[in-house]
Amino acid sequence: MTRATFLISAAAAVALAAPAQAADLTDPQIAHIAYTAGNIDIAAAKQALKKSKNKTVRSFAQQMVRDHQAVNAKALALVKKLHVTPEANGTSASLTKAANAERAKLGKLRGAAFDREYINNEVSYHKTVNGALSSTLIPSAHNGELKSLLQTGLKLFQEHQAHAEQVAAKLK
Amino acid sequence: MIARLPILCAAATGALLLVSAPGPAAAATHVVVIDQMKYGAVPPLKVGDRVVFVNNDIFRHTVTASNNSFDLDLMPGKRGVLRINSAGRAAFYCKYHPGMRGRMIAR
Repeated sequence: MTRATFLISAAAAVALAAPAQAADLTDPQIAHIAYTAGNIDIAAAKQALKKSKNKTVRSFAQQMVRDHQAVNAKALALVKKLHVTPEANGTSASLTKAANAERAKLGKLRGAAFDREYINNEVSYHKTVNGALSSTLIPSAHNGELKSLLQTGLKLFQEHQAHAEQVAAKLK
Repeated sequence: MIARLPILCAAATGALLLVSAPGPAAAATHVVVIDQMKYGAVPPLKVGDRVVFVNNDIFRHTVTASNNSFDLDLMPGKRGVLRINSAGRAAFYCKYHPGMRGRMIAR
């Protein structure tokens, strides 16, 4: 893992963990964080699909779009059913800020350098979100259906992390 | 070690199981559910059995032989059928989620 990747990972981890420790998250806030986390990965994948010519990287990115759109569609349907309005909060704002910085960084890279940075960030990003889901978001969720969807999301993110690690190994 | 794959036919249509010709009298149909990014366990199989994979997950999955001899592509909520033609072992995985793996043994 590069130093830059580690720093991004660490920043994202702080963004996810700090507010949760400061106060209990509500279900509308958790829903917003989870939805934001998915959208960030979709946006990153779309950027990769625009810039990368690597078949493996593009296939991975297409999978990220497909899976995270599926989860987010389910999340939207759930909040509608529960009459819950996702509530913006400091954690999701921090996630978005970190993602914007990463997108700008990736925007300056091309070719193999882009591919490596995108995939390395995917590894660290999924790892960070996995930690947040396990330690904070799932335990804090009150509604059973939301908790269940988050658990599905955790399994998905874990698989994506392993998948990203496989792709990263191929790029070395 | 993966022996020659025991699959006679594979189809990702829900209707196949209903319309295909009946198998030998001793043949059984086994349902294997895919959910939460995992394949359910495939029970021990006999030649002539059918294995129905039901994708209860919210994601698209495949049941793809490691040697590419069969490939079910299952959208969420869909099912596909494999018919066991001969004894052997088969390892399979999901093309979209390579961490998802399973295996089946037919005697």
